[in-house]
Amino acid sequence: MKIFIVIPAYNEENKIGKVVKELITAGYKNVVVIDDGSKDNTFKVAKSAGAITLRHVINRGQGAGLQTGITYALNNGAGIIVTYDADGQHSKNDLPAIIKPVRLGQVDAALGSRFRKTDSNTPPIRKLFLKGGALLFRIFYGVNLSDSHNGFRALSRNAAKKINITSDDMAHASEIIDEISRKNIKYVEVPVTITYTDYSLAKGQNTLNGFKILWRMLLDQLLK
Amino acid sequence: MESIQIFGIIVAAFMIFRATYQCWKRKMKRSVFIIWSSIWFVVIVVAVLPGTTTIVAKLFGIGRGIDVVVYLSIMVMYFLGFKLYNRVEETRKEITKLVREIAYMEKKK
Repeated sequence: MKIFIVIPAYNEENKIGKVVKELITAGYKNVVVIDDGSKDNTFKVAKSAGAITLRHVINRGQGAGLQTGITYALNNGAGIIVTYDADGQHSKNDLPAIIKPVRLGQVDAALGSRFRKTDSNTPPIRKLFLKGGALLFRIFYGVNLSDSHNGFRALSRNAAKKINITSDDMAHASEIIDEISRKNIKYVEVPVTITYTDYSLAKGQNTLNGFKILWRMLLDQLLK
Repeated sequence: MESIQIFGIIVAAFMIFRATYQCWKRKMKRSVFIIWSSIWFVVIVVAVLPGTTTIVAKLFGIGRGIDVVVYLSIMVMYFLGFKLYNRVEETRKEITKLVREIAYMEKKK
């Protein structure tokens, strides 16, 4: 079964090369990097590291990048699609565990959770927000998750076809969960390690963004 | 006639004139022109004969004529805001689609 790893990247020239090389060395040949209109050399670095590279001519957001990569993977015969972060937060060592339930056909979606591991070094304020997000998922979508926004996922071809990401920005993470719930996609949570570094924290989501996502979730629920 | 009435007539007349010009230049669709100029025509009617709003107000069970105008304006503005939000969302999605297609085309080259 052809496995594609989809990585949306925006201004990640410092990290993307290492991330791609690690994955290829670990035996994953189909690494798709979507350069989301970066102002730096993300595209070049990813390409020379051996990734299949696609480029957005202007920045459209992580959700848009993911959908571009997922559609590309589907059109090129992907059996399993893994979504992965560009900033080096995820560990390639978690890949076999997250792919396994999908490959065995037990579920159509395996979602990474940083809270299912005991050695998680999540900063307390972030933990509060992610847990709050998880609670909202339970209220809004009826989905019971321990980690609300984790970019590490494995999707079967079937699930990837069903999930349609229309939120270009960070709200896509909520949208994917919403789609899983609406379309009755069978899922499981898999413990993964998130490595927080000063770099990833600075680049990642801040608290204000959390509120923005909440606002979008409410609006979407009202308008749908 | 109060100065506010004259002011209202001048503004409305200008808006209708502008719309007519744009419609004539084919910069405005005829349907939009009709809606837009009838709104301003109502403004002229109200400015010339303020009593008309009281008739409408009584019809709705609202005390003063001017209140009807304010309520209606707020409703129209919310409606337009909603339309605008939808339109912006639609445009955003179309741009993303376009960017995505360009990415695939570049890849094929």
